[in-house]
Amino acid sequence: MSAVAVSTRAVRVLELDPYERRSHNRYPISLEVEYTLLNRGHIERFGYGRTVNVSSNGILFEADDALPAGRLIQLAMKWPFLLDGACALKLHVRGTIIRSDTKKAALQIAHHEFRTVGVVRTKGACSAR
Amino acid sequence: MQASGPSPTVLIVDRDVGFLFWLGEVFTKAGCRAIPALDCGQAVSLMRKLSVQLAAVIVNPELIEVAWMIKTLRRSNGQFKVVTISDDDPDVGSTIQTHVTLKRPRLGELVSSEEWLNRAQEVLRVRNTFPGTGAA
Repeated sequence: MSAVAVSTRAVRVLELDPYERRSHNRYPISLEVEYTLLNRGHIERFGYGRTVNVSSNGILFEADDALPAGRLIQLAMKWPFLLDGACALKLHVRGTIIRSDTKKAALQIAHHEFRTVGVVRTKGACSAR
Repeated sequence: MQASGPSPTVLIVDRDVGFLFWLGEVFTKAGCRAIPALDCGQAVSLMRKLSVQLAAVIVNPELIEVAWMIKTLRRSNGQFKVVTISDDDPDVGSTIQTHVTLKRPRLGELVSSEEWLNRAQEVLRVRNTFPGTGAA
């Protein structure tokens, strides 16, 4: 079971930047993510990254490659703790990359849901959705 | 002493996925197993799949079907503390009996994991009864 690396120092949950006037708190969460970049409804490529912060309507993450702004993207974040010691839970997010540079991309969330992913031990305790 | 033993389980139900992950981290650091849900229907559905005794349900009282969720979970997952997440509105949450309230950080508020860890530990220390009634 992995631990989430959240900074132990005090952090401001909101920082205004020149690109966007944020209206939601952003929490410093560092978790591995898998992303799927879409292009006109087709999968262009897969990749990995790590979240920098997460809010109710957006995720800032570092990606292994530059991601083009304006594109649709799907992201999967693993809830870092097994449920009932048996199955994993992933947050699946779909949205648009609203800004990006060579290291980071900001995703605006259009849809998100948790899905259980498989059974580690007990039979039928947590079936895949 | 927690109802579910040395590693109490808490269910966190909130629409804000950032706050959900943040609270999940805080309560895990406090020694809990944290289970997230984005709404009450999902929470009930998830808990039906898990055979776990809940120590606390931390919920945004503005979500629909909160009272139904608590009633349903009490039948399937035993007695637990109800912790509401406050958004500075004193009227919200008055329809459900609450053991303790956690105040959501205001926009731009300085938050620290140490402070929130203390809050989580306070939540876990609260007795599983409603003030003045002695009833769970």
